[in-house]
Amino acid sequence: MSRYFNIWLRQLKNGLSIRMIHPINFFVMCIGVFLEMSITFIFLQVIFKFVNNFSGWSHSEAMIVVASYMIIEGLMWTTVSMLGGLSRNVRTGFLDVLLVKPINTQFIVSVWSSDPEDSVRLITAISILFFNVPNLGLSNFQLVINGLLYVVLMVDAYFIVYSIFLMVKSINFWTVQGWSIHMIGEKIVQSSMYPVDIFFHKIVRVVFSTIIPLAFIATIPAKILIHGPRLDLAIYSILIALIFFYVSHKFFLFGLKRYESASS
Amino acid sequence: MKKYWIIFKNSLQINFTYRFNFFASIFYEGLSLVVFAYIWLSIYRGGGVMGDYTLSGLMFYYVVAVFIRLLISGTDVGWTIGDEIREGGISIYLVAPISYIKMHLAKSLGSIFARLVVFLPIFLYILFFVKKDKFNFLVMFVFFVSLSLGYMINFVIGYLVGISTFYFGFVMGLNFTTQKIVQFFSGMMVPLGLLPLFWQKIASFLPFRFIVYLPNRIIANNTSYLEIGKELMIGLIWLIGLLIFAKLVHKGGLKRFEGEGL
Repeated sequence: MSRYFNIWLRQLKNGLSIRMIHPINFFVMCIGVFLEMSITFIFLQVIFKFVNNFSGWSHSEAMIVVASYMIIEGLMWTTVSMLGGLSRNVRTGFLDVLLVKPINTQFIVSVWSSDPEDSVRLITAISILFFNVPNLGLSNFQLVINGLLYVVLMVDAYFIVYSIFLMVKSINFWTVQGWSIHMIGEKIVQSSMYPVDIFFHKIVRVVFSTIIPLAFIATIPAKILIHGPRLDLAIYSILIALIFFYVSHKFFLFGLKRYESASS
Repeated sequence: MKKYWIIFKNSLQINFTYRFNFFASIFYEGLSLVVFAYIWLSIYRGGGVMGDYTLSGLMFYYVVAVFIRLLISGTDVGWTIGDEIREGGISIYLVAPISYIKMHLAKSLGSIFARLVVFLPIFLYILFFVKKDKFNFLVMFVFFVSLSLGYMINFVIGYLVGISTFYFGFVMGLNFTTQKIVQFFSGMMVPLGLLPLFWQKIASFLPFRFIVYLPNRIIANNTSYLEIGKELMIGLIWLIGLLIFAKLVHKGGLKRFEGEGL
């Protein structure tokens, strides 16, 4: 286990070294990431300029949902670069080299690249969270209990997003092309950025809670943080994360059998 | 002219070869549209109103915005040129009797044209279906003129970012940041008229509004022709200014170019 952890740390360090070859570019990237986040927050500002609540969510509550999504997004970019390593290695044929390494292929492909500039997402989103949580009027005890469960659900959310991306990016084994596949994954996951209560049609909400469990990425963790523990939701979240992780792993292995080593 | 025609045709063929990208972009842009539709629907269902926009007006705004995004997202000019300069690939074109900017314009137009063939019929169908009463050929003509102007401004901005590689060495960050600025100030994410006054003022001093916001105002058919004409003129001045600036940046950049990567 420690070997895997060391490899992951080494890859993170490599990611940072690669970026720092062009330090100006790195800092401009950080500004770009911050701008991207700011645009979303301005968008929320625009909505609340005209309405007092957004599908039952106050401004602070909606900000917590968006911040929760951005924490997961930031973690995904910073740690595994939204699985950019998978599509790149399939396209270039470099996966051949990784396949023969004495290490789990899914692991090495996942941690192959990282985007350290996206740590700006994490810092900004956590700051937004800290600014808005006091507006919820929670006691210290509630805050600790809700906060702990929130962290557990956020870990689940990370694995759900990872699994969705692994499944989507595994399509690269068939199509080889990478960018469109990435955009599909990104847009699916981005749909969870706003409270899922906006999807007022029951069928859409059921789909986004089960088939594509977007509700468990940001809305449900935020709900638990705001309104307190819900054991049923916590159990569902863990179960969904486990099921998705298992299914995505199987799908990755299935796709891997189709790998034709193009371009190598 | 013939050489650019060949580049245009090649680009068209490449785009038709990789058809998967077309269908994928319909899927993800469609999904994005659905999410925005639900955001506005949930607000209007709750009794909210977004400025002067009716629900259908706002929905239509996003259909037009997605159509424009589908067209212009075909080529990432900044990234392509940046890579060519960084890896030394530009050297081939420097010794060829060809204009670098025109070559990339021809490539980009090929991609746009391929996308137009697929997306324009869908867009026109929606347009006729939604705006049947306001469907007007003159408005359509002015819309496509402003669309072309917006496309050219977007192209030159991308080109400028790309040739900045001569000075900065690597412009991935600049390209990403510029795209975000364009996305926001063009009105792609939210109509500029809905933004707080501070942001509206900044947007009015920048050329990005000609990419999405102006074509959208034209096709909504609630702006006077005089105002549209004035806006188009300002857009044209911006385009000429950007082209002159790009020429100067390119000229200065070539003096610094060391053929790195060859």
